[in-house]
Amino acid sequence: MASPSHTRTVTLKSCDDVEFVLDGSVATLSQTLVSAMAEDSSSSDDGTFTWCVSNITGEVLAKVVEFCNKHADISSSRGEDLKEWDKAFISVELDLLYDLILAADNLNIESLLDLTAQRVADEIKGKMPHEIRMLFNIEKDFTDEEEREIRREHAWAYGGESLKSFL
Amino acid sequence: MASKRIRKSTADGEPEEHQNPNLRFPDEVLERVLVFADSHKDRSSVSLVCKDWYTAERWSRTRVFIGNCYSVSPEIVVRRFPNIRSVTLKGKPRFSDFDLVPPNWGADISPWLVAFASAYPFLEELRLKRMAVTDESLDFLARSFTGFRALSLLSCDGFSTNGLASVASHCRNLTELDIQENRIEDNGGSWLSCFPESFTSLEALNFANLRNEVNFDSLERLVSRCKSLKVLKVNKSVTLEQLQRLLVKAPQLMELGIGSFSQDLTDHQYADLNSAFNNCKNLRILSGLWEVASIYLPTLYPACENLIFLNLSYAVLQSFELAKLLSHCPLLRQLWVQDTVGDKGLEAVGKSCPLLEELRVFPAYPFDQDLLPEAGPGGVTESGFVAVSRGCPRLRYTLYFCRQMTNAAVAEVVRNCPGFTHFRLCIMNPCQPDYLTDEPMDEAFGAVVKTCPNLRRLSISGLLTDRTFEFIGAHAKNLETLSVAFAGRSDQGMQYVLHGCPKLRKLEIRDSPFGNAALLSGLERYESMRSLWMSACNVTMNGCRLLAREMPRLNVEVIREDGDDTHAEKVYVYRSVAGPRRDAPPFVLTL
Repeated sequence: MASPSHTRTVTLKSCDDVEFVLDGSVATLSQTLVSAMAEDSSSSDDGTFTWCVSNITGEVLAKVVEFCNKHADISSSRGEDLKEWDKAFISVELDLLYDLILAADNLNIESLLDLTAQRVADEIKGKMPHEIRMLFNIEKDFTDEEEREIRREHAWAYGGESLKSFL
Repeated sequence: MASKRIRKSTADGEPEEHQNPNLRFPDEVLERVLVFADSHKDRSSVSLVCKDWYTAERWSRTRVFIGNCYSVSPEIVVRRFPNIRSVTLKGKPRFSDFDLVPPNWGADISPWLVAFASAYPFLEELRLKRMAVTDESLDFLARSFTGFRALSLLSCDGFSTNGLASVASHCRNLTELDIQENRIEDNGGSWLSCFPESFTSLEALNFANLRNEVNFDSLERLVSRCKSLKVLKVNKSVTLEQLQRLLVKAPQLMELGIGSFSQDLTDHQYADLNSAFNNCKNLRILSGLWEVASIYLPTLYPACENLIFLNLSYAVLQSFELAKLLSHCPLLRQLWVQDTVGDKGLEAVGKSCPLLEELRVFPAYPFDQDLLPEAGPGGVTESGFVAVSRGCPRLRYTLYFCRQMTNAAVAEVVRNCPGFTHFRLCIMNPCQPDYLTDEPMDEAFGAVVKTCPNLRRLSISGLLTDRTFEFIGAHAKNLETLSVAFAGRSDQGMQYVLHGCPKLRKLEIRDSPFGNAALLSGLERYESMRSLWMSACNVTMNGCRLLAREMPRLNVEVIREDGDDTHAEKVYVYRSVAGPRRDAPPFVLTL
């Protein structure tokens, strides 16, 4: 059995066969990898471990690896600097953002999930339902009557006043 | 996955052909995203995107705000949202503050608690306003939610300190106990001793409005061991000497409600108190000060430099006392005072508080109509109001009880402070004209609605004709809440408002000559409003029946306290997704 601390390097292989070699300590950011390494008994004696991610492309995986390298590097992972770095890192087109959040979910990388989720939420904020649908190309599957009912419940029951004005 | 591409809309606004059907988020990812979209508006939009998003929204929702407890039922709420941790719930109509709603009217928290106990065992926070809360309910609450953290009861009634004792005894993770402006039966201060000695989580404690003496030893021990305490508002039984001891234990406080401020202190005690305040460098909000002795006010000064909110609504201060105090509060944003400070005190506000955003002036003797300003200290007039507006250009919220007012003064106030969002002017003598010109006060409120485009809440008073309402209907485009007392001449007045004011959500009217024609002219408006209250107007039972028949989704309730079968003395109209309420007492007729 290979524990992350014993594993010196991890090789990640994308669905289009691009390989990335990570330091074992970097790989521990991914709970998926941590579990996989813990379960794996076949890892070679030289402490390497290979993991194929069947549904993440090399382009996306490169971003994920970039993120993990930065966040695992203790010397750089400090306060404001890291926040700035994250902000620049996540300034990507929506489709890449979408792939990144799925990759973060798939590899179970908590900090990347938070960062991508926050960014997707920022895209949603202030938008009307039809604008959100257009953004993510989602089809409306409510009937008009269902939509009216939901609108009514929202406005009538949970309506509109901010907590601040309550206080 | 990466092959999925969506394109931006083309210039004419039509979406281009998409290569892929959609960007579908797995449920757990979407719920994660929604944690960061917390506002009511965004939540509402998200739930309307599609069925998947509706589902993710309802599962990921942890907070719910219900502005009228009868607009929905506990069953509907728990069915819709399975994971709520925090509930804010408002009950009785606001005019219950003026005793216009009879006792036992309703708005009982107990059916909500029963539903929450089975659906939300992890409930952490409950904020109630104008709800009926019994000791049994508080005990049930304390025993049902093991992780319960925050209880705020504002203007609630029906409970006693026994209920608070249950909360103190059983809520081991409590961080906030905020009891404000309630009609509460005070059985003595022993409830405070019920917090277990191992209990240390409290961050906010407010019992400012309880009457009886609390067990000071218990309070002192509690304050000592709760190292995260940020808010402490004690009642007037706590003396200055005791306050000093508390402050030494909790110099980290950000909000302090002082008890009595008038015992005899030795020079030594005075110095200790001064030094204790000097160590409270984090204080942002100060309130309380029942029974102020002038000579001790200087002990406060060192704690004032960072204050943003000074609530002196319980403190009877004279103008010179306020003036000196304010000169030590350069950062003040909110100030509440009693009208004993007089116009001179308000002049000091204008001089000392350039950043002021909110001013409330409460009457010290609200029922003494005969006490004219020249009869002595007490009472404020138009000149104090104008002085504040000249010195405080950022003023945007006011509640101003005064003895006299003029059209010209109000016009100048809003010219000086056009950013008003809340303008609540109460000239205490009903139907009083501009005392200089003897004209109605119509032009005053006309100036308010014309000059303040962001106005959301307006309370009007003084001698008012339908012209006031004509101004409001025509100009108050963002008005959400309008309170009317002793105003108007005919149905036309109310009609102006209902035909204008596109964002109106709450309309409350008392003692005004509006009848059925006025009521029924708003048929199509009431479903877009939270509520309408009309008392001592000219509405009849038949008018109310007609409204109820035409608008079946509205609950039209008439409160009948006398035997009159035709006149509808008090009418409360509100929309509801739950249908008529089932707990109406015999004197409430649901039509």
